[in-house]
Amino acid sequence: MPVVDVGSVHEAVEALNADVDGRRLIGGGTGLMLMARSGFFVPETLVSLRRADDTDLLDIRLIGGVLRIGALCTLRDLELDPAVRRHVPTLAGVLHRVSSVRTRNVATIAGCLAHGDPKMDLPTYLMALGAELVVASTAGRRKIALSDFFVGYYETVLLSTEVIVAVDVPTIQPGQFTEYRKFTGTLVEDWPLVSLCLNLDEVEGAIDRAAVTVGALGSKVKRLPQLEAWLRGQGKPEITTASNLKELREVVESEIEAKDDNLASGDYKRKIFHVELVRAVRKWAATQPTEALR
Amino acid sequence: MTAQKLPRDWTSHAWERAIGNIRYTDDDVPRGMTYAVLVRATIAHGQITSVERDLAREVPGVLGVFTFEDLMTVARDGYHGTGYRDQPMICDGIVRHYGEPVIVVVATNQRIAEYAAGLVSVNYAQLPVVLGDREALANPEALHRDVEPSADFIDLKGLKPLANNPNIYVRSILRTGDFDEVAKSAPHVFEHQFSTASASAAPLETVSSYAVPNRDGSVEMLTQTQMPSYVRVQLARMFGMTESRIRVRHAPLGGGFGFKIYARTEPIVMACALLVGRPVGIKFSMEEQFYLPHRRGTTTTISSAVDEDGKILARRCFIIWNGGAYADVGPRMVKKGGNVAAGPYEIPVVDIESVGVYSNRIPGGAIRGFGIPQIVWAYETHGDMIADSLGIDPVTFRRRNLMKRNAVHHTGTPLGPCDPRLVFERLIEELQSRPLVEPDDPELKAGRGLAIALKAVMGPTTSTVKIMLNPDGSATVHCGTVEMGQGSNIAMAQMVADELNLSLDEVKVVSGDTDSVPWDMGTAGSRSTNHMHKAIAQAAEDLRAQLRSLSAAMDTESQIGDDVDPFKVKGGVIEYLRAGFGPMGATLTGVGAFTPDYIPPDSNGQSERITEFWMCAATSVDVIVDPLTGVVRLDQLLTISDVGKAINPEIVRTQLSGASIMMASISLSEEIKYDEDGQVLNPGLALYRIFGFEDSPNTVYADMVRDEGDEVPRGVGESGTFGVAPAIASAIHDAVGVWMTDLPIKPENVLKAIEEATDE
Repeated sequence: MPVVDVGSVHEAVEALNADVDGRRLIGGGTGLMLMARSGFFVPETLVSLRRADDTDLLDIRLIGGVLRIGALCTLRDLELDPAVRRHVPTLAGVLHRVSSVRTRNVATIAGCLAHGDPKMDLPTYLMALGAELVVASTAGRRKIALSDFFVGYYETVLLSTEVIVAVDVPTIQPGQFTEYRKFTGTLVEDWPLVSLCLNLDEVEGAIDRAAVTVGALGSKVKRLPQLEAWLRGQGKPEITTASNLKELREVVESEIEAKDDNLASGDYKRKIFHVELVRAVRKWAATQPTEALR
Repeated sequence: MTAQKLPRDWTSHAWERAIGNIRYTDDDVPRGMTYAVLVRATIAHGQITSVERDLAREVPGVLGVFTFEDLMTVARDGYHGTGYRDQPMICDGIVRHYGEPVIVVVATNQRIAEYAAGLVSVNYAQLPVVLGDREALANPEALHRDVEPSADFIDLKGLKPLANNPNIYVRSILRTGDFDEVAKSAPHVFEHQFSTASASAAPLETVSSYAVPNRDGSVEMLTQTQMPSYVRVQLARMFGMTESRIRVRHAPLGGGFGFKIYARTEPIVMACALLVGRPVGIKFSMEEQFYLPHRRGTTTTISSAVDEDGKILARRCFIIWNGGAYADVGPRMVKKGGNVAAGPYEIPVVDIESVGVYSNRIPGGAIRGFGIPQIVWAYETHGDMIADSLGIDPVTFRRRNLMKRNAVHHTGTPLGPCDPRLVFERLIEELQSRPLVEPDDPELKAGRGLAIALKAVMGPTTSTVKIMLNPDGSATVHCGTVEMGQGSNIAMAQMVADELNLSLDEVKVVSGDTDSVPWDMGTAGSRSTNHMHKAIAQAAEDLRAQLRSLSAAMDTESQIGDDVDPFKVKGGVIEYLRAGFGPMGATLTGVGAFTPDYIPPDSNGQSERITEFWMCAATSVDVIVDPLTGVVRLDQLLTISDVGKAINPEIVRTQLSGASIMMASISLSEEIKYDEDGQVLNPGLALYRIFGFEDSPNTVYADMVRDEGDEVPRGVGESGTFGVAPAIASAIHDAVGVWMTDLPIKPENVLKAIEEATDE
């Protein structure tokens, strides 16, 4: 596959428009090359921003309450960045369990999201945090909430002529609780078989706002409105009483769907989701208000 | 000698391997190489009705697009196989498993060959697909008709498929009495069933071979094989050439595990090279490697009659070995597995039937243990389930039943110096200083399990060795044992240095070339160190005799007496060589050959000498189980093995622990999955899940024991694998109270068992 190196986002957009069907933007290539090697998806030409002068693509900047992460930042950059560690402190721990250091050294944040694979870790985590994408096209720039981004397996709302230039991640505020649960099953290091993320705002010991996302179970990462609604107003430690946990189980049973695949039955994956959700909830319930800063 | 410090070049060899600097077969591909790519079957069973290959032939750079018939124009016999000659070089018209090679495309480079292969289309008339163990056993339509036994091995003499069910290609019986008779009056009778899945050895160095035809009609074959001598024999037979005109070379292997035994891709590249008159190579991707033989799946039904104290009175086993499309090592594995299926226990009456069946799976091969781990899985878990039912702890149960020192095995062959009780008690002693871990998280449960097993060496096969005693008294050893990371070159050098009273610096081992290295059956089945040890002793004796006769030319007081070892005479060797050949000396060559004695078993499987030696190993595993998810993690893995004399104890320990970790991965994670049409669903390391470092136990320990005065090295490579799976199952039971009977032990099944136990 030939690679067209472009010098800026503007040039990238032009290059993609020049041959809409044959060209594909490449980030780190860790996802795309696997697909190409297996013959699943083989673009004719790749467009790469690796030689671009645009420093914004590699920057991590705090703008108001949002951390703007340049599209070409690698997962390893994020994992080690001091600003990320300060403002989104749970991210490093999530990234630590994504693939291997060698892959994280190459994979980019934008590529990781644009890939549209529900079995990746970052989409589930960032969606719960309320991340947004900054996207460039010939029409200018627009913002897409990550929760509106995924359509299905390897399918997003991103047009093939659009370029993700940055990811805006709201910083984690005092009183916020964030817990990402990755369940891999047999092997410690693997794609998640089930993943979920809980992002809660707490006011006076009760949940004021809840964002809950699920990954790996269906064709896309998504938020879970029923669970979020149930969580709102729950206080600690009462949330873990038997009757509350019974209610929680009923909500899970009503909202979570999972299909059988080569790795496990849908029934098992739903059970695991419930176990991991309860573990995350218990963890919140066990935090002291002073510890809830993260 | 074992205490001798290893010189730098020996240890650096291991270091080079660890950092990836070692030169493997693919690093020295002969010049002018062209490449073969295989078009593989997209069905599991059917007849090829037509092949369209014109498009592929027209691609510039393509040298040939060959069918089986094309390959046969240069071959005398297109079939190979160790038990039966049932395997064609490539598909002979009937596809018998998914991914079977049907067409070979040869081109000037790999990429062109791959492209052209994509242009070949093959049409099939499908036939019914049989995959399961029991379905294959009951299959009225035999997958093969009129298969011809190979007659390569004395222990397979008389091999033939069952007359009334030719899909059963081997049936092995071991019977010392009437099980039903004992069971009738026994206080307890237990019956359980166990299964194992197919698994792949998936060595990191993927399979490749390169054939170079010479102008004089001879052929050089550079290949990765654990059996260079046998590959040469097969190629000579299949292509009607003398062995002297075929040279098989190999570099150190990047993993063997029984995966790289017998002929694999060599006949294909040999035929292609003869057809196109140019060097032809084949190099598999990791994904393609999953279409080479797997560890075969099994279903075992095992029953025991037991008295009130847990003493086993009689045991019956019925084992189905799902051999896939071609028999490969099946006939031998079925026999050897059946022989030891009752375990290392004193049981007055055993009744074992072991059968090998064809199916439309990928052919079954051998991985680290030659089928024995599948057998041990059944009898050790069965034993623990019996002990549990009777309220006897697993240690006491084994102490009541284990074979004693100097026992005679169920086959009628004595155990010799192999003492199961010695091994078992050493494990128990080791465990006393290692308390079970207490999980940090109160939700998690820890448990401990153990297992013990016995195996006979692969058998009766020959090793030969040639020791060249150089004029300065140093030695160059020509030895066919294949170095594949197990440290055999070091062990061979140590044994020669011991015999010849040399330092390791003075010994060089030459291997990897059939033009200079004499016959060796192969590096497999834990046979090499033992058999070479005996061959080396003979070669050294040969040299001693020659030195003695050379010294006859010297004055009387310098002559060597019959009771004197010339290698022990200080400065003697050089003097004897000079006395014989003049002041510059010359080379003396000593040869040795060893073949074990063997007595074929009678119709009840009885023989006083069915094996050269026995191996025994015991394993203990500590697990941590998450009862809410069924996930099992390993905390500790211990192996104690009786390997006889350890030539290089440090290497033996790492060999044992490496084997145990590999088997832990197969026990908990690895499984070749098929869909109902017989398509393999998870070829390649992205989909076939192998343990990583994080999955390995927190503590891994291995050590050896041996009978006092036992100075003979026995097998090492396999014994670390034997008891791992049942020890894990036993530990899971200890932790959460459920028995797992199917391998691999998947979290979902553990959780299901826990839920069922709770419901009850």
